[in-house]
This record gives sequence, structure tokens and C-alpha cells, in this order.
Amino acid sequence: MDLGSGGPGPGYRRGDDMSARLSRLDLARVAVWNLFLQASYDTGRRQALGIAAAMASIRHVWPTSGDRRAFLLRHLEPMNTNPAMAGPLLGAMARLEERAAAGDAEALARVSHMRRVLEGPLAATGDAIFWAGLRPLAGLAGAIAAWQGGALGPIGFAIVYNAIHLTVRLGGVFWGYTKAERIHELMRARWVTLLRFAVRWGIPLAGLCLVVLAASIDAFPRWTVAPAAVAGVFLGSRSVVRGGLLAGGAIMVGLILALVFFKSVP
Amino acid sequence: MSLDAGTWALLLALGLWTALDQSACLQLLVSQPLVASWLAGWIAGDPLCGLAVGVLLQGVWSRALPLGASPLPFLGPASVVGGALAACAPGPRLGLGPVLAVPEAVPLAIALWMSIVVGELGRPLLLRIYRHRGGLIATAMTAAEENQVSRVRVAHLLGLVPTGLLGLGLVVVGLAAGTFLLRMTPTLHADGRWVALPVLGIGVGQACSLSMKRRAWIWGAAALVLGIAVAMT
Repeated sequence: MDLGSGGPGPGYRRGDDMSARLSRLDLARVAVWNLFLQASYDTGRRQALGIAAAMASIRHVWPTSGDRRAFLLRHLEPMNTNPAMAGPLLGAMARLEERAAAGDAEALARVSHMRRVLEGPLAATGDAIFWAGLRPLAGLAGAIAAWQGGALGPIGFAIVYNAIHLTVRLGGVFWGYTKAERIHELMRARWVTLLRFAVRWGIPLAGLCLVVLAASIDAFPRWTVAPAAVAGVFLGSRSVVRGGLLAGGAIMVGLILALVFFKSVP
Repeated sequence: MSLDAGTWALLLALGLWTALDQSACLQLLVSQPLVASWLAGWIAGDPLCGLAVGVLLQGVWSRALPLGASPLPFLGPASVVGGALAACAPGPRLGLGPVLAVPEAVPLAIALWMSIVVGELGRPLLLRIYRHRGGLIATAMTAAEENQVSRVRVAHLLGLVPTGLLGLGLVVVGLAAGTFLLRMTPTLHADGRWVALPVLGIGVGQACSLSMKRRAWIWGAAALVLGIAVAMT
């Protein structure tokens, strides 16, 4: 993954950099628009409109109308990545646009190159961390908290997930701006490794806790939890049946058992 | 069992928020069942019943991942429907753990089924919306050619409209069909935990299969032994 050295290329003049420098407010605008990244998600251009809408906040780095037009069209190119990981990418692209506007000849080519090279790896990392990692882990932990403390569960779930999600999605714009081409370091960051470890072992442990909690309630059908969990893990790991359909089957079986046994239940 | 106009309005507002939160904007996970069903249950008058449905559905849909452009079930509106129907279901509540409660078996099955149907119905309809945004793209491209940033942004934000309308429509259909079914079903007084506990088990298993793909059998054996040991004692 060659993204260059991270420094400015030939033709880059230090004085020009000062005149076109982006303020924190500009980056904050990019970060806020990043929250609406997928408003117009489309199967063809994916998140292109969202990226263009966010990057438009820094169009003033380009001096002429023609440059700004080219800038907008450049960011309407198809792109698809994890929405949270788009933050660092937007920040890095803003930095490169700033350099390009200041005369760095290579920066412009690097913008498109970085999008192409990093959108996939960032999407894979983001999906693994947020969608397939933090969300189910926080969901199971939230379910345990809800089991014991009611409203604590959903509130804790939302706080834990968003503390990390919003830090990366909003703060990532500022971080990406400082790192520029070196944002790929994010995928090897220590917190990412730690989070992956926590997810790998946290999900099964939280799942076992929930099975134990559910199997210990004072109700006749409590023995059904463990076999159903085993069926869920095996069918899930082989992607045989969708969760909704599997749950639909469990509802039917449970309903039939309830109607058969309901006279013996106090 | 019946919902007044104010409750309908609040549930529709929640349905709209969760529909947009799922992927179109913010993504604060208000659309996840644990939060959306709890809020819907709170609006409909029984937050703990709504929360119980949220706990059940959270695991069930834990493997629904928006990888690439694959559409998810429409979790937000589905969770609102499930939580609200469970909260307004008639009959006594049965304890699911120290805090949570579920309605009787048949009303609970109706609430869960309607939620799953709304979620799965939303999946192809969302994909249809994603495939028919050529007009917005064309508008944005023309605006970019003319260097009109505000028009690019308006075209972008107009994408929220069909997603929001779909969410609202699904909440209306799900709640209307669900309340009708709840009204038509005879009272049987069967224990709702017969329905809840297997669904909870399936959900936990689905969530765990995400991280233990290659060692699923170890986890499965541990869950089986521990779960049955606890249930027997």
C-alpha cells in the first residue's frame, strides 16, 4: 500500500500553505456532514454524494471557480467505506486538498489514489470493529445490564458504542487531517488490536453469562435456553439461516410448547 | 390494546428517527432493538415489556451486518413495532429475570412475528430505494458542473425522504396489523416465557457465532453444559 512518504511533494511552497490553511471550524463542518454520509446512499456511486457534501465545506481552499468545480466533481467519484472510518479519510483528503491548492503537484494525484487504496481496508476494519465487533458485544452487555437493571441496559449500550463510534467518526476528521497519507496507521493502532481482542473473547463470555442468567429464572421452560443457544451458534457460524427466520421458527416451537404445556404452568 | 392519537404520533416520530438512524444519518444505534423497543414500550405504556422484546430481538439481528452494499432488515421500524405491540398486549405479565416482563405466549408471539415481518419486508424495499436514486445523482452531477454546492447538498439530503417515508409506512402497517391480530386472538393464558426463552437462546447463539466462527463447537458445548446444569439445579 504505497501512499507516499506523508510529506509534501515538489512544487509545494510553505508560504502558500499559510494562506490556504483550513481552520478547526472548517474541519468541524466536514465532521458534522460526515454524520449524514449515507443520506443519499446509492448502489452505483455509493457514498459519493455524502463525501462531496462533506468535502464541500473546504472548497474555499481553491481560489477559482474552475478549480472548485473540478474539486466537487473529483469528490463525486464512487466511494464506499465504513461510515465511522470515513472520518479519518475525510480529514486526510482535506489535508491533501489543502496542499494541492497551495501548489503541491503530487497531492492532487494522491487524493484519488488514497481513496481507491484505502476505502476497502478501512471499510473492512470498520465493519469488523464496529458492526461485527463492538455492536454485538455492547448489545450482549446491554442485554445483561437490562436483565439486571432495566433501563441501564439500553442507555449503557448507546453510551459505550457511541463513545468509541463518535470519537472515530467526528474526532477522526481532525486526526486524519494531522496524519494525511499516514492514516493507514489507524488499522494497526493499539486500541484497534485491544478492541478486537475484547470482542473476540467478550462476546462468548457475555453470551455464556446471558445463558446462565436466563437458565436460572424461576420458570418451567428455562431448559430451552441452552439448546436454542447451541442451535443459534451452529446455524449462525455456517450462515445457514437468517436470524429472523431462525427466531421465527423458535417462536413457533415455543408457542406450540406453551399451548401444549400451559395447563401445567401455574 | 388500543393506542390513542398521541401515542400513535410519538411512535411514528420514533419510527421516523429509527428509520433514518439505521443507515441514513447519525447511526447512534437508536435503531437497534435494545434501544428502539425500549423507547417504543415506554411510549406505549410498558417500558419493561418493550425492553424485554428489545433484549430478545437484539441477539436475533446481531448477525445482520451492512457489509458492502448488502441491505439490512429494517431494524428500527421493526423494533418500534415489536416493542409497542408487546407493551400494549392484553393480559398479565410474567417475570423474565428480576426486572423484565413479557406478555402471555400468543400476544408475545404476535409482537415478535410482526417485528420480524416488518424488518424482513423492509430489506428489499430499502434495496429498491438504493437502486433508484439515479435522479438525485444526476441532479448532483449537474449542480457540480455548475459549481452549485448548495444544490449538491440539497440533492444529498433529499435522499432522506424515501427512507423516512418507508420507515413511517412500515410502522403504520406493522402496528395496525399487530393491534388487529391482538384484538382477534382469543385469550389462552399460556406462559409467554415458553416463547421468549428459546428466542433469547437463538439470539445469544447468533451473536456468539460472530466471534467464534472456527471454535463454535467449544462455545456450543460450554453453553449447553452450563445452561442445562444451571437449569437443573
